[in-house]
Amino acid sequence: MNREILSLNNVNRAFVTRKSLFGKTKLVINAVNQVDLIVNKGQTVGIVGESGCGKSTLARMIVLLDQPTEGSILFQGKELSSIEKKEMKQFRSKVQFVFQDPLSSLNPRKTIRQILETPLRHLTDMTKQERADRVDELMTLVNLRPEFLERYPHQFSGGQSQRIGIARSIAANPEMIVLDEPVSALDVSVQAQVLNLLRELKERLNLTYIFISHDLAVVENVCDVVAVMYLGRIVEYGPRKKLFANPRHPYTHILLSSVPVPGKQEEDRPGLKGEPPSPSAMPPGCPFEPRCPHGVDRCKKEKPILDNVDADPRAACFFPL
Amino acid sequence: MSEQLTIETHSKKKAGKTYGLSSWQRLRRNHLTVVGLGIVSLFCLISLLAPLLPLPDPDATNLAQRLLPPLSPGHFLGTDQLGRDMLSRLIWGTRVSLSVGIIATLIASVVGSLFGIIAGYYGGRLDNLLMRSIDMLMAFPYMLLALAIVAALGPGLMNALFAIAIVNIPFFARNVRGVAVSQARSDYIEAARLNGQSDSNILFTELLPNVMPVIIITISTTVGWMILETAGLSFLGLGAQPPQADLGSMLGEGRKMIITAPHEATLPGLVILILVIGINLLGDGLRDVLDPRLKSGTLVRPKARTAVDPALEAKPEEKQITAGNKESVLRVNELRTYFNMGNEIYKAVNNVSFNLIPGESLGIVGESGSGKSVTALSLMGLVATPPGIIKSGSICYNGKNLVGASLETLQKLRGNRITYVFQDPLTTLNPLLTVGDQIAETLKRHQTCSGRKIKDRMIELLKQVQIPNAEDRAKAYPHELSGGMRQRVGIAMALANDPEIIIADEPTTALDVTIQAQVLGLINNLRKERGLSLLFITHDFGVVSEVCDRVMVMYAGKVVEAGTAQAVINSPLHPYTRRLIDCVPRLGKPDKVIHAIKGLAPAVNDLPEGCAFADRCDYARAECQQQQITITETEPGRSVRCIRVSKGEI
Amino acid sequence: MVGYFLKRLAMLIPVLLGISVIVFFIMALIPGDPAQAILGSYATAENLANLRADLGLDKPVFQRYFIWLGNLLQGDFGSSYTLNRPVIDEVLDRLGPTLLLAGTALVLCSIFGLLIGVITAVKQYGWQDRFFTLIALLGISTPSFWLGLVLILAFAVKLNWFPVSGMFAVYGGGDLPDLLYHLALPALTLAAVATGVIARLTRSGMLEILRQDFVLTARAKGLSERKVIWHHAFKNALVNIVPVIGIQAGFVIGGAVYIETVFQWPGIGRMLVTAITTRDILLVQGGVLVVATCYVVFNLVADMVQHLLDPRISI
Repeated sequence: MNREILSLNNVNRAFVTRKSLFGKTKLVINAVNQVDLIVNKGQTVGIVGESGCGKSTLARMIVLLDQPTEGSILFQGKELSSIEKKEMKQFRSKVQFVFQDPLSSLNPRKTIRQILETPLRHLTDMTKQERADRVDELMTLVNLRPEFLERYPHQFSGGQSQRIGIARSIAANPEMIVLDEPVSALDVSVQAQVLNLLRELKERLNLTYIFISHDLAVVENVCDVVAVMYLGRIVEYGPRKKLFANPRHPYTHILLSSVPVPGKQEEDRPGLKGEPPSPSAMPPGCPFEPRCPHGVDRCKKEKPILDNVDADPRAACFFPL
Repeated sequence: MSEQLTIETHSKKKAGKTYGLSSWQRLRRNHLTVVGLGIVSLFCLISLLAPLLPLPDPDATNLAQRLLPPLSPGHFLGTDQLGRDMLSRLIWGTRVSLSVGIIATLIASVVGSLFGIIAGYYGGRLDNLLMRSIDMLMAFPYMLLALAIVAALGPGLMNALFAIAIVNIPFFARNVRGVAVSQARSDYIEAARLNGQSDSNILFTELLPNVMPVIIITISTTVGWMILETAGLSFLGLGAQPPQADLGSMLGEGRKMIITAPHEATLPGLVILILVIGINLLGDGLRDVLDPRLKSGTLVRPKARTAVDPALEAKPEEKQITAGNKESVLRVNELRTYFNMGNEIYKAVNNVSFNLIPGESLGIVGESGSGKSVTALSLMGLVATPPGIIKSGSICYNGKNLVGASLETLQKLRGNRITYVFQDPLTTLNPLLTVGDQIAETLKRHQTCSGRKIKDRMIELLKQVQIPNAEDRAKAYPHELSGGMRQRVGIAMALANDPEIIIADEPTTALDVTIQAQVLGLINNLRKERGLSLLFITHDFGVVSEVCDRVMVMYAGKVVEAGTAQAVINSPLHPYTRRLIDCVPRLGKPDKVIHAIKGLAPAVNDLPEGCAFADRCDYARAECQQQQITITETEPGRSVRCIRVSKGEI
Repeated sequence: MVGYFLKRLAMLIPVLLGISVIVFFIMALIPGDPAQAILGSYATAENLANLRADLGLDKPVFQRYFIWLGNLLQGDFGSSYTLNRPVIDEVLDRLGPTLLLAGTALVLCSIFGLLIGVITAVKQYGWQDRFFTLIALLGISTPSFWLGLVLILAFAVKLNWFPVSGMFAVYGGGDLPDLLYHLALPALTLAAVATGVIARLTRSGMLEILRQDFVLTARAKGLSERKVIWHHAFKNALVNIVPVIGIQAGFVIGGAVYIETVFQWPGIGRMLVTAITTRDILLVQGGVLVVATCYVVFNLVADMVQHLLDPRISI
């Protein structure tokens, strides 16, 4: 059961923005920095962090919408950067993606039928009739009525559009789906519908999920394993229950206590000082040090890495809580 | 606030008809467009039929009958200096001008669009190379390049056509590229890559259909120019060469006779004018149909005050109303705010009443489309009109009814006694003014003191909202600040004139959770220190617990439950409130099963007869659907709009 | 700010080079042999060869370009064979009147265009909106050369309010009032089209800005409508309109070709038309290069203004 499906080894993604006309001052933003991650088949791995932490960049690299500047990503033991054109079809059929904004991910000038048929046409060898049957089946899978097939995306609500996006992602029977904030754009009552649908599909189709979100409560609810990112790095990683119950990294701790919970009036939460530093001017030591309540001299000079495998959860901190 | 216009436009019955009219119908609805279409079709028809019409030979000279004025026998529009029939020449000239204009447009649009779409889609170096060369063409004054090309190729109609086509290529390339760039980065193109589609497949099946409207719009704006410009070249003697004649060369020839026979020059010009007006009218209509921003009717100027039903417009002597309750700083009674869009009436706020007690913090909770933001904006008449209109109700502040109050009255209160903090501080601050100026502006408007004092007060405000280096930051522009800092500026602006009431519309929704915690803490402290009343709009019950004393829950434009925050959250009585709290995963309760609410909220333009929640409610029964449910007070300060409560069942 | 200016100035160099390349190659497109054209059909083969060598036509095209460019940079634009004088002298003589005409028209169309645009946006659907929208539509649809003729017919021939043509009165003219008297009709004609374009863009730009959230904020602060419209909305709309005015400058300069012809204005436009019909290619080339350069510089100014208005813009 614990079969490794995806592994990330020292993945980096640096964006270079040329600042001056003559290209003298180069601004380098390390969106993703030395990320190691292993995903086992059938798991739901949550990647959580605040805006600008690099979680979406990471997601895009996993589905080959972007490439790491350093390091390697292996899917089923195969290095992604070595995938050739003819193998691409196979990879695309196995790994799929769900977007945050459901409406913008659907071509406004295509009907739902056309939208759902496209991946079948390009990723499978189905005949016309098979495709038509599959499209009907997909609609039932995501609880939408088949008569919606002839409509255009703007005729649907956010929740319905996201169902269509999910239907498209499962069309070619993938093994793994990367979900980039799949419910953030939705109203809370609709969020629940989509989360439940995702859960149901996972059971039914034996899927592996990588679930990107900024919403800690949602991540706690749906994920088995969780990685917390801060400024491009994974600062804490571990099984959901342990990580949420006993976070070891100070950032995770503060993050968790910042979430307002209904019925609870936090009088003196620890709170986080200041704002994250600009990603182009990172501190030389621990990236969290400038805001950390426990920072000491050593944190200013050295970068902590995720500690050994035995610790649970693992934290990138010299003095874990 | 973005919610204000995202009125849910879907419902089971009406899905598919929400845009109301088909493109063709929308085109026809605009009378001017119909006129344009008529003119253009008439010109096209006459041009096509020219060989079949019983016209004299346009080139047959008859010096005996030269320069006849219009309405001469046998020559309806007179003759030119060689005695040729003007009417016939005009029709044949139109034929030439029109076809030259259309062919030039086709050449320019195909070549330019191809440049633009390829540059926009591939981006990077190719984009740079293509667009820099296009920029080179743009570096010439428009006509000058055409002249240079004609100079090189030699005068002649075909050469003029080429010259005009070439100088118009940049317009297509730039317009198309602009759209292609933004579309190429959009999610659906990425989704197409994930579908395994090839680049050329994406270009032509995904991107092109979405770029098409821009191409058509650009054609509609340039075809008129192109006809004008080719006529211009012919006028200068550089286009059509005799005996071939287009409208421009006729004008050029007629110019020499302008004093003795003015009709010879004025008539061809008039024909060009009418033709181009027709094309432009049609183009404007097409643009209205194809431009997505215009589609939703957004290009209507919102008025400075929300329209009020004429019956409610206050007559001066009636403004004073008796304050119902001394305990309230703001009392809203049976407020109804509707949006009239086409034939549909969206009842965004549908009979909302509440009371804001001095020093309290009242939360309004609801999902998008529930009317919570519109309620907030209605208070100071800030709902966009058109389409918004306050249909009924009263808003009582300080013994005065603000519904129907004059703009001047409202302007004296806005930003002064009653202030707003909005959701997205990036779009709600003016990008061209420093944040310091934007705060100072509201001080200047409502205080009479020296500039020096205003500046001091502005810096002090920035310090109060805990912005580090306040003096420096005052000189920053909004885009130079982080989201959290911008929202602090928004709060400073709201605090500037020591208001009595602050209305905060989802002020932390766009912020990260750690920043949200900071801002919520700040709002809480400032409110308590100053004893302000706060109306706080949110969709998050967790946030309600943090900042609100009391809360009301809205659904489909109505308040369904109200009470103290603690009571409503811990023991919700309305089924919607309960489900809304239950369907959200809660931190620290990982194993909580989240129960989704089935279905969708009804569209507020198609509300059911009875309870709006009945369709989705587990407890619904027949009578729920038959009648309006009244809101019932269960205990002082607690009220619920549910039949089970009004019948005393729970 | 100074840094931005210098950078922008540096970016002029490739643009001007590009212009020179385009002009050079357009002129190289001219069919036939220039030497033959100059010497006529009775020239001997030897004479032709000599002249080709003199003109550098025997060298490869790239080399010819650089020689040509080198000459340009020294102010040598060649000599006009019809006028028998250096091209640069003739062009500079005529540049003044053209810039005066185009500049006046540009000022007029900017003022009227912006004003009409704001009025029509603010009074949307009112009579002012309908009236001025119609005027703007007429403006963009009118052939300016025809409008010029009609105005001459009406105001010069029939009413005798303005002169029919020329820049100064033949006898006793030459002072400023005389110049303005002659300038009025051509400048107004030239401004008409651009006014329409700017007015329409200003209107839609204003309507779009007035919808934006920060306008709501300004109103929520209790600011007066005048302040909201001019200080907040118009300023933002202007950021997008300034580059349009820059582009309109190109149309105005181009349109001057017609207007100068219609009103016998002694500018570059009229010179170009004559030069094209007499195939005086060097004169065409010189005129195009100089006017294009002026236009590029003007656009630099428009960019600077936009930069001053909008703090978000950087290179």
